[in-house]
This record gives sequence, structure tokens and C-alpha cells, in this order.
Amino acid sequence: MNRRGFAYLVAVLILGLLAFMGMFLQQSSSAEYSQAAVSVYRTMARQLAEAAADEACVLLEERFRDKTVTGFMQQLLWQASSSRPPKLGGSTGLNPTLLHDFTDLKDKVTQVLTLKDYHMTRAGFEIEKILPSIKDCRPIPQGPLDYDENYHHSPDRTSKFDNHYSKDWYLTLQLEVTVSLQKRRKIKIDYTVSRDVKLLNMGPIGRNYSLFSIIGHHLNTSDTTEVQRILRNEMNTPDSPGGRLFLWNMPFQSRVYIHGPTIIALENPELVADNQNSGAFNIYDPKYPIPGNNQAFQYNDTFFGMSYFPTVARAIFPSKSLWDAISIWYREGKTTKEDQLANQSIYHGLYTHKTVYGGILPHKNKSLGEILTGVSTSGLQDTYFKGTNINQKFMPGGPFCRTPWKYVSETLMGEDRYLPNSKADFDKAVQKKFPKDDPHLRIEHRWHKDDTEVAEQTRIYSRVYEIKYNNLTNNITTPAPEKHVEFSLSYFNDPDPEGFLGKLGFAAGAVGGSFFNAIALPFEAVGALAMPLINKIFGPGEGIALNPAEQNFPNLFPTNFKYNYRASATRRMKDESEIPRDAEGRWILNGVYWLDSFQVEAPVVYVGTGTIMVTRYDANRPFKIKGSIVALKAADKVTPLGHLNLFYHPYQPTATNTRERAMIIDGSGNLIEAGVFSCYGIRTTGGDIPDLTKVGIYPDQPTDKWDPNCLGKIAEVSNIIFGNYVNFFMNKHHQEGDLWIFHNFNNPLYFEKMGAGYRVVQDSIDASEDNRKAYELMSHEFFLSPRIQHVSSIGGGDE
Amino acid sequence: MNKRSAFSTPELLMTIVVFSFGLLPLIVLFQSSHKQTAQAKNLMVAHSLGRTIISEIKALGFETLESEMRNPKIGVVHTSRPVTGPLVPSDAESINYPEYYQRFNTSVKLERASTENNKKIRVELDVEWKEPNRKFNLGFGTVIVRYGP
Repeated sequence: MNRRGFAYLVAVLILGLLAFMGMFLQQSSSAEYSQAAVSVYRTMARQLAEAAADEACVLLEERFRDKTVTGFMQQLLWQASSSRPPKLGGSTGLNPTLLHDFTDLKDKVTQVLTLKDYHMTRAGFEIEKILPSIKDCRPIPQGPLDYDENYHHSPDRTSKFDNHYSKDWYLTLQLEVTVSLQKRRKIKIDYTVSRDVKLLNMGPIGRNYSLFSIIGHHLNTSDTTEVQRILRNEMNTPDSPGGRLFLWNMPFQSRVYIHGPTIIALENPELVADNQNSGAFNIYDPKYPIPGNNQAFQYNDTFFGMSYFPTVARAIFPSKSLWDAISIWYREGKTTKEDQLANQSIYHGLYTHKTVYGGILPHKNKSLGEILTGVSTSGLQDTYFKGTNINQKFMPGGPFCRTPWKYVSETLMGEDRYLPNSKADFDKAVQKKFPKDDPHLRIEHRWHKDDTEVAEQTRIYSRVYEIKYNNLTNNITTPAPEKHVEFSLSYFNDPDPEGFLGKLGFAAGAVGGSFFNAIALPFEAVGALAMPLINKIFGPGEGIALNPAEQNFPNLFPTNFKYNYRASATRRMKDESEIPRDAEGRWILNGVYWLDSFQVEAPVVYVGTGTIMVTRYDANRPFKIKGSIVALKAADKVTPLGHLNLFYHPYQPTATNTRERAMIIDGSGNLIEAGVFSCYGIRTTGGDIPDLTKVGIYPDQPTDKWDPNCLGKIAEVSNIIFGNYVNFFMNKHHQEGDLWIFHNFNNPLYFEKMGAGYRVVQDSIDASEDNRKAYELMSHEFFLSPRIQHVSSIGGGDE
Repeated sequence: MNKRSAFSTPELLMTIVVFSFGLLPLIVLFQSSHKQTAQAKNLMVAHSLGRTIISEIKALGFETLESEMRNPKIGVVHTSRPVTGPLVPSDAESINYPEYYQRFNTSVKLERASTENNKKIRVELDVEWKEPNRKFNLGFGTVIVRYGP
């Protein structure tokens, strides 16, 4: 067999095979490298897309937070206000034109463009588009508060305090980003990311009220006798904590001193048999649909945010001097009898007490001279009266009353210093005038605001409450209360707030240093009677939980109360230690912080606007404040640079001890510059002021004679909420120390500063639509969640 | 004796010569292929490093990076640092980077935009390594932002 030349053939074949393998290998490794490169480019493109989306989000956030006309906040708010909850139908309040020049941000992401052009140049990336869009804008569901009628409505007004601009909304911000490779035109990365947005009303709850109690009294019994016993104890035993709390703004006898409009529950133990609520609750009772006496709330609301003296009022203090007392009695026609007759005609015979005349306010720790003077001029025992008339007006009194004050009926002493509208300092007065009737100071039927007939028929009995004060021993005793003795609120707010505030040194820059600078720096088982209502409101479970069987509670809640506060949370934290601080240790507030627990043991200063929310009770770390919490001030030293809301709602239907669930303000010297809500009320543990003169409040003198820094002194020795206070239950008997509540007139969320004076911000809001919008713009904040709600990415392969 | 047909010596020699000449470019081809495979491997390693390091830097967040720019503590910013040692330096039980990774060097640069109220930090990462005939470099990057006022 001739095989000559076959070796060449084999060699060539082998070579060919090897060459084929080599080429295949080459092709394979080339493809591998190419695929690796594509993979790298895909990652780079994805990194660029993510970076572009982040940068675009920040740009959008800045623009949305911008409240000026060039920003988006205004337009977003107006558009959001047109959206309605799904259950109410309507639109989602979207407006595709909202983004203006931000329709495509591909040329605005400067940092990504720098990366692309100067650092990640290998593949020739191109940002093709960054398209933002807003979706799904709806009000945050708030249960029954989705219906405006459930917010408190003042009968003075034709409209609610808040309107459709005042809500909270959630929405989605979506970005569509496309990154392509110039050198490989077919490779594109489409990246879509969306983030949650909340548009929240960060203003105070119930801004128009210094104190607003949603339900009121908190009793754990439905037994008529027991209810009466408890209420009587609180009313008639001033030396006990409960007793002190029944009274408001009464020196020595109150735990709470309020300056500003207030809504608090009224109880009347003497009307225990009048309805099944035993004189205790202002709760709507389907068996007795007409509100009884206990469905009334003390109420006042003026356009200054402060109430006036009513002229028809009872004197509270005795004569300043013996002669003053005697001279009145010996005046012709000024007898007690006439006074009684006057009362018969004016007060429908309910009123039989003698008129008492103005005089100095007694105080504890009196000197011997003062005791002797008191005894010599007024006898061993003085009688004080507080009360209201059937027209539901209140007796002015207390430290913010221009005491000494006196009652002069229109048929009595209608001359010189006793003329109606005469001033109280009768010692020197010749022609003084009492203020006019204040139509805004009265009791209001919250449940039937629109039914005047029901309101008129409702029995809100008025009567005086008599206190015997011993000039020698300072003892206060109370005779058996008369029938129809009623709530003894007695407080005053100056009808001239500008003058009043000015006198107290509240003008800008004149506030006493200690007031702001003292910071070194820094339902028991829910009442058995109330349970049906409470269950309706909250439903089962701890904290605020929406009741699936949602019902309406007309006129019950204060403005900006959030039924579903947790849905407004922007940050979840363990405790206060996680709140961001600046280099000086100040809290930097920005959002709604939902904490597991909260305890402040040292003074804190905050800057920015935020809400601190705790919705559960922690026995190891109950909500406690020991130390002042104040806002950083602007250059004028009084305007706060931000606002804080404290929201504590450890509601537990089966809880048997509400004392431990109250917000604790520990000790004294605590100034809390905030809007405060506490479900079970506040438990102060100290801060009594036995002698108001020691803090510069001289009840026998007009306010302009008081120490300009009296509030500063109060802040040092007692406890102040400088803002407002809202609770669900009063739990007055748990309050062991004093608490003073002042509206924060320096905070634009409460008051508008007008030149040298102030006006309550509601007055401004009501004045014009523009003012309303300006306020809502101020109180709302835009929050873009850094967390990704949804993300997707497609493309990136060789097509 | 029967004549047996077979390759003659010159024929074999010639075949070997021809085969050898034919094999030479094939060897180059194989070498090139091997090199490309190695490059692809290095590329993937660099890719992996790029993803990991960028993710780590993103996880640090704006505040940490800002602080790091002012006062370096954890050594985010560095130049030409070999990839070696434990994967998680703070974890004593962390596995180490494979020895192979030592040929890779990383550099990280943080830059802030010069605008006011700056909320953006540009991160530039370079991964470098040596191939037999040249240096190789891959640039990764991202932008870390701060939300809120």
C-alpha cells in the first residue's frame, strides 16, 4: 500500500483541527471577554442610573420643599387639597403640569454628568432621560376624621377652623431613568424607582385652645353614688390633689393655670340624678339624646384668642379695706336686699348670695402684719365666690384676672366707680368701666352645635360656689354645696392682648432671660361610663387603632388631631437618643418620629419642626420630661426656629392604672415649648407656687404692675407648657404639682405678629384666602422617604 | 521479504517541519485566547470589586461620608490600595480576599459639588490591575445624597 504523502495530509488535518479549535477558543474567549465587558458596563450603567435617580430625587425634594413661588410646595399643596380619600370618591389630586421645567432632569444631574464625562468614560454612557411623575395623591386615612364634621366647630363661626388645605397626604414620586451606551448603541438600562412622599400638617393640635380636653373626666365606675362621691371630692376638697384640680386658675386651689381659650369638661355631682351619666360625663347618650348639663364644655374663643371679662360676674375677693366694705353697705339703695332682688330678676332666682366686693388676694405664708390686716379688715373668715350665671358666662378670677374684682349688678351701685365697665382698682378710681359682656365667653354644647333649640333647652345650671377662707390659718373650707353648684372655672384673659403681653414683658427682646435661657441649656380602666364612646372611637387594641366600625363623632376633635398618627410617621426610632442632634447637641427636628419610649432627663433645645410620638406604655421607661424642652430662637430672641409636637397615646382598653400612663412632668422648673397631647393627661409631681407674689404676680394690682419677668419666675419654680395642651381624659386627680399653660404667642403657628402686637392666627386665617394659604403653607412640610417603595430595572443586554 | 509501506524519514521530518510551522500561529492563537480569558476573569473580578465597594460606600450614607471627608476615620478615601486582607476588617472571623486579588488596586475619591447647601457627594472608584502587557483600569462611580433640609 502506497502511503507516501499521507503524513502531510495527517499533519495538515491535525493543524486544521487545531486551527479550528484555536479559532473556536479565540472566539469563545473573545466572547467571554466581551460578555464580561458588557456585564461591567451594565453595572456601571446601573450605578449611573441609581445615582441619577438619587440626585434627581434630591433636586425634586429641594424643589418640593421650597415654599416660595418658584418652588413646587405651593402648587403641590393646592393640588393635594383637591384630592379625597378613596372611600369618599373623587380625584387623586394629580396635575401633570406640576413639574414645569423639571419634566426631564437629564441635564440637571450635574454630579452624574461629571461621573459620566470624566470618570466612567469607557463605554460612552449617555443619560437619555430622567422623567419624574407624581402618582396616587390621597389624604392619609384618618378614620372618622376624614369627615370634617367630626372636628370641633365653634358656634361663633360659619365654618370650621380648618379646611381642605389642612389635611395630611401621601403620594408617590416615581422616576424613570434610561442610560445607554454610546459605543454599544443597543445596550440600554431602563431603571424605574419610586419613593413614598408625605405632605404633613405639622402644626399644633387644637391650636386655638390653650387646653382642649376631648372627652373630659375619667372615672372607672358607673355607680351613681360613687360618681357623685368622686366628683364632690374633687370639687369640695381643695387640699387634696383632686380638689385642686376641680378648680382652674384659682390661687392656692388649682393645679392648672391656663391663659387662653379652653375647652374642658364640666361635671356636676349635684345633678347626679338628672341623667344616667351621674353628673359626670359629657358623653352622648342615645337614651338621652338631648345633652344634659354634662355635655357642655366651657368654651371661649375670641378673635384675639383670649377671652374677656363678662360684666355679669361674681366677685371673688373681699373688700380691700374695711372702709370699702362698709361704705358700700351704707350707701343708699345699695343693700344686700336689692342685690338679691337683682339676682332674682337676672338669675331667675338661682342666685341668693350677697355680692362680694373687690379686695386683695390672700396668699399663704402671710406675714403677721398681713394676717392682722386681713383679720381686722375682713374678719376671721372671708367668703369667696365663684360662679357662672344661667347665660353661661364665667366668673373671672385667678392670677390672670385683674383682681381685685367685684361684681356690680346693673341695678346696683350704678354710679362712679361701680358703673358697669368700671375698673377694679376702686381704691383710686373715679370713673372706671367694666368691660362689656363677652359673647364669646360661655358654655358651649359641643354635640349639637347646629341645634340652637336643643342648646337653649339644655340645662346648664349655674350657681355660685362658696369658699370660706380663714384669714388667720389660711384654711379653706367649703360648706355643703348648694344644688346646682357648678363648675368653677375662673380665669381671665386680657381683652387687650397686646397691652397685656407688653406689660408682662413679652415684647420682642424684653422677655425675661430665665424664661428662655434657663436651659443650661437644655381611660384606669376607662371609665365605665365612657366605655361605649371610647370603644366607638378607638376600637379594640392598644394605641390608636382605627375602629373598623367607623362612626361619626360630630364636633368632638380639635383641629389637626390625627386619628391615625402612625400613618404620618416619617421615622421609626427606639427612643429620644436617636433623634438627630447638631454639633451643639440640639435636636434637629424634621418629621414625625415614632418612638418606642421617651424620657428626657436633661434640658433640650430643638431646632426645626417635628413631632415626637409614642403610642405605647413602657413600664420601664414611661413618658417622662425632667428638664426644659425649648426651641432655638431667631435673632429677635423670642421667635422659635421651629415647632415641636409631643404626642403620647398609650391607650389600652384594659389598663387599670391610668396614673402610670399619664405623661409625667417631673419636679419643677420645666418649660416645655411645644404642642402637647397626652391621652391620659399630665401628671406633674412638683412646682407648687403657694404665694403668687413671690413670682411677681400681685393679684391686688393691675398686670402692668406685675413683675415683667413673672413668667420667667414661674418657669423657674413651676412647670409651663408654652404652646398648648390637648388630652383625651382629664385625670385631674393624678396631677400632683402645678401646671401653667400659655399659648405661645411668639410662635407663628399660634399667633401672628403684627408690628408691636399679636393676633391669634385664626383671625388672620379667616381674614382672607391668601392668609389661609400662607398659614397652611407654613404649617405643612414635604417629606420624601429615602426608602425605596419600588424599583425595577430592565435592559442591559446585547440586542 | 515483503516490502512494507511506511513514512520515510525525510517525509516525517518534512511533516514535522510543516506541522511545526503550522503550529506556531496556533500557539499564539491559544496564548491570545488564554490571555483574553484571563482578562475576562480580571474584568469580572474588577467588576465584582466595583459593585461591592460602591455598595459599601452607599451603605455608609451621606453623613458618614461627609464626616469622612472632614476627618477621615475609616479610610474610605484612598489611593492605589491593594485588595488584600479580611473582607470585613472589623470582623475577626471574616474571610480574607483571595491572594489572587492582590494584583488589584483600588482608589476612591469623594467630591462635593460646589453649590450651596450641598447635599451630593460624588464617589469615584478606580480599580486597577496589571495585565501582562499593560495596565488595566476600570472606573466606577455613584452619587450619595442627603435627604431632608
